[in-house]
Amino acid sequence: MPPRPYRAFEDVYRQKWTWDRVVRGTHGTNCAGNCAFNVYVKNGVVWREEQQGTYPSTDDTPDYGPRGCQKGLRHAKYMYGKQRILHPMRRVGERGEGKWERISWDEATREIAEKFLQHSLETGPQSISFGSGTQMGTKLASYAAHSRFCNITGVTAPEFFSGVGDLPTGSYITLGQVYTGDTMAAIYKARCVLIWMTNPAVTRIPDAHFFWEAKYNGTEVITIAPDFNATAMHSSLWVNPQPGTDIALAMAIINVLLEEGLYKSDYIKEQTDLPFLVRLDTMEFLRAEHLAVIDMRGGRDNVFYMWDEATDSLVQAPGTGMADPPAGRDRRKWDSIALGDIKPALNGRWTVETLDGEVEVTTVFELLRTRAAEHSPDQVAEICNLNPNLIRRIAREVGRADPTMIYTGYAATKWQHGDILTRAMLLILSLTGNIGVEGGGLQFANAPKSRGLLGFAFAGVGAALRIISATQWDYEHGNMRELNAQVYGEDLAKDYDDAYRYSVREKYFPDYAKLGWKMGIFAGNNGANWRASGNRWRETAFGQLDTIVTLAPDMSVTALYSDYVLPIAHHYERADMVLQARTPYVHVLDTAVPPLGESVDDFVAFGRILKAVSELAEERGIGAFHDDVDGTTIRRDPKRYYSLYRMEGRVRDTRDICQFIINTTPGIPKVTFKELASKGVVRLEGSDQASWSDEAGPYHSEIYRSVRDKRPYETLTARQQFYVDHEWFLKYDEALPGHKAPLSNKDMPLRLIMSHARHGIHSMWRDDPLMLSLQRGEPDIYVNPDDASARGVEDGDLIKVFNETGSFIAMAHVSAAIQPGMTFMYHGWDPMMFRNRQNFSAVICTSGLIKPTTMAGDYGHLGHKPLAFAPNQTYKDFTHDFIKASAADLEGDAA
Amino acid sequence: MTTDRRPASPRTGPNPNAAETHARRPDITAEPRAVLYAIFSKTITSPFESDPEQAAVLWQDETAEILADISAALPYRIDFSAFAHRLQDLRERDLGDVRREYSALFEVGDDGPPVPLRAELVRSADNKLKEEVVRFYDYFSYGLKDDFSWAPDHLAVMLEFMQVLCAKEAVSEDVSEQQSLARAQLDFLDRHIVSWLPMSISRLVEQKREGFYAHAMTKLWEFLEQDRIWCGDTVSPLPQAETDGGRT
Repeated sequence: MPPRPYRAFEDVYRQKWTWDRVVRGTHGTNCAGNCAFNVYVKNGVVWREEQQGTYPSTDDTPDYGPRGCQKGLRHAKYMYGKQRILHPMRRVGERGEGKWERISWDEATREIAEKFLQHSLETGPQSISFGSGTQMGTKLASYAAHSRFCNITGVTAPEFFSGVGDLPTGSYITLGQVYTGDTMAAIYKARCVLIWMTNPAVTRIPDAHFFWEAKYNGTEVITIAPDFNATAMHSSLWVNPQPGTDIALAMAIINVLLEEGLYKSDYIKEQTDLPFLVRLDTMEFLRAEHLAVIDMRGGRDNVFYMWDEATDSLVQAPGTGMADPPAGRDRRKWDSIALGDIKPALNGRWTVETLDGEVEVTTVFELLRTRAAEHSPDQVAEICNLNPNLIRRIAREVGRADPTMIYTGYAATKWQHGDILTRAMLLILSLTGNIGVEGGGLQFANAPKSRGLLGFAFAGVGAALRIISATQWDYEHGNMRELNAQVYGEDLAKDYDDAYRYSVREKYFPDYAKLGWKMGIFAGNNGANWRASGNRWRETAFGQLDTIVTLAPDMSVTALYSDYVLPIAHHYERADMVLQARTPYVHVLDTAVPPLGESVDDFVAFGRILKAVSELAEERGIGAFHDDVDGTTIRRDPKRYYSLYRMEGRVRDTRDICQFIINTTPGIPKVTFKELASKGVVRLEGSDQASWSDEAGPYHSEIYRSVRDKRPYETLTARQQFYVDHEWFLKYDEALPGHKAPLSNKDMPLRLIMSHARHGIHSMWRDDPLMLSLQRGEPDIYVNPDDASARGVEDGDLIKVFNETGSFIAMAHVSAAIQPGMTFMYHGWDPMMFRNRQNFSAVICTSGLIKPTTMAGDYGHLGHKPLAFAPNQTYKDFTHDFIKASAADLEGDAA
Repeated sequence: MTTDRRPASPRTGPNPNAAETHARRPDITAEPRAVLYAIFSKTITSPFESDPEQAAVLWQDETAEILADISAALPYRIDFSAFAHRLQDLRERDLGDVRREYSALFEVGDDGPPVPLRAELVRSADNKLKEEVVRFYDYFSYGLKDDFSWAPDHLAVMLEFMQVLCAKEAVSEDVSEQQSLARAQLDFLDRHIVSWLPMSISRLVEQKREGFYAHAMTKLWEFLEQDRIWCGDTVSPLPQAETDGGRT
């Protein structure tokens, strides 16, 4: 009996509420916040989480704490919400109808295994896709398990970096490297920051303070955004070009830097291809193979030249002409780009004797001046709708500050010409000597050099992974050529498709699509939500699959359209670890409570599928088969899939995987998982500076080493490469950056810009009741007051947003922060939250926009390189209109 | 405008005239009520979770007899014959079919379960009420198995807790203890079962659900309505001194 007789309900409150345990945790989701929490558990229930307080930092930059936003602080409630998937389910109605029956794990995995084996054997494992997404990619053990699954079985892994339009191909084209980010504390070291194509006040909630602390410390913080957003509000200056004109603005800044001599000659002579010579007859780089030179390096296409002012002669650029770029530790054997006594000219023209006779050559720098002259502030002011003096002011600020940083985000890469914008941004920084210096640089993303993740995927098996850009995958299976023709015209559609087919035929990029797409498995991936041209994709690609399996903790549109849904553990129900380059520590997720219902973590779930496959193969006497992966024959034995997955029993759970990653990733202190779990965060090695410039750190530092140690860049020219003389780049006038207008839909005057949301991380937490109560409670789209008034729309009205490819209904949020001619919407709203289940992807018709230069190959560092150079999904090159929604619009049938 | 189809909620609070109207007679009423709560708890437990052999006990002829006896012993009139009959029909049904009916109603859906059995899915968005449920359990040393610890507010768990309180009342020989348990039953019913269950029941009605489980829920609500009224009528109000915030 109780301690005293019960009298009234207040009596149950007399016992102090104590905790059974407090566990270190975080949310392994794609916000990159990496916030440490204490998770409080009593009676097997998570009751709350609190921000944990202690973070490592450098002595000369502000502290990283406190960290943790309203979404993370809500998870203790959200994890028990109605959206939670608790049991394996099999679809019993039509796809999308939402009719399910609960089945056992054994039943589910058995049926999935049947289909898995059937398609593996009949069509080939590449006809099965296993898409992971941003909700998995940050949880390293889970992601490693996914990679190992794909490696063992040979299924196609459409990667989500380019698939969601986030791949910084412009960085790769220029630097041979996509990873150019430092910790957030590096912001404090900048004297000028351009916040361009990102909104950190909303999307970097725990870190936005670094900008404001820098500002009050004297840093000029300039936000470049078409809308007056939360970041602009706090900045020193807000610049609002028209959406899609940012390349022009960047080139105008370059124009001023060049015109006013605000560039660092010594830096660009050594570090860039700007002094390299270009033939004026063909516009190609002058190469050894063009000259009447015969030596051991004769005939190479990667030997380049400069004009040496010291000797008034042609000289080979140092560091060029290496046979093959060294890899891994061999990188120390690289040549050097140090100039020695060479004094490369930046300006001038010369005549050179070539195998084709006398040819006039000039420098890339001269070509750049000509290109920049086409983008004077007065010309660009017309394009961007800005005051030219404002452009000059920014350029002068950038040129004078030491150092200058451009802090950018993935909004930059979601334009068709996002690569050009990135290249232009890098050019601004390079001209001013700001690449490879702490407090400078293009702050984009960074990733561990070797997470141990791939090591785990390959251990004992070898490398046999099929990774493909989801963009390329969708182009094939969604018949996106047809979409291009419908929206952008047959000329563009043919042009792009011809280049695509050529590229695949010539094997610049693999053709994983030739055998068709039979089965789709999705984990940590709500692809049916975020795919551009989502409706079309659901109908033409997704909807045609024989079998669809989703593994997720929460219901989503992707799960809704699946044939099998398997329940997955949420953040507090698993053991894992997180590495995010914005912060100088590794971080734990520890198991606070067992997974709810019948959910399990990803490692266990993938294992159950493989166990069923192996058992089925054993029962049926299915033997090994041979699988050709990029020209290498791999022997795959389904009977052994499960034992291989678990390394013959040595890998018991995700803690073992975490320990593997800790042990094999440079830069992570060699702690035990138990120690990591007790501390929550552990400082990384090489994190004494705010930049990732120390080779001891776990993140990429190649750019710093090129600047500091004169190591050649991993580009064709061994330099920061701003001139690309690939024939397609020349054909489409992209050899140098230059303004290109975004595409538009005929007769559709408004451009929709989207960004990450404050009240959700992608679709996670987006439907949480408290989060919804902090906004308008339903999907809303920001519109300019004049645009609204012209259409008879008032704030709060439901409007139909449309173009020729589809429409969706949302609430008009009339705001003077939005300039005329554009609309704005935060992303992540799942179609299930919209009327008729049509979300913004109904009007985003850009899935097929794979421009030819993004499929270039047979050119040094350009060509298929997963997670570095691949076609990027495009989301912004379209326009739309809107009207007030009618009763008929509101009562439309669900898709 | 929508029509509120929720079943009428019983009145709240103890009946100040309890001493004059009904004698609670725990020696007679507590045990049948405990058994009834147990039967409904087991009925509402997922057929996926429960041991099929144990679940099958519910479907035996004895259960119909027990329900008939209970019906006679209850201080209010409820006819369980149709319910008993339907329980027995389960014997003839394929277990998979029973499971499908249950999960389609209570467990799986694209917007959460069509008829939620967890209080948290129906009412307030914060954790306060769930915390109070756990406080009640702790107060009376009622513990959950690990598998179910994450769902203390599941209806089956809460009905089992009511069973525990009734069973304790049935075996207690101390009047003040009996009254204490009676008050706990009333408060728990009021604050944690009847406060939200009508909303779930109304979804059954709106969705025009039929079948065994729809009937079971309807019968359960009928029982709870009556039991709540009776509890309110038979729980003695606290002496004035004891209601003074515990300060005396």
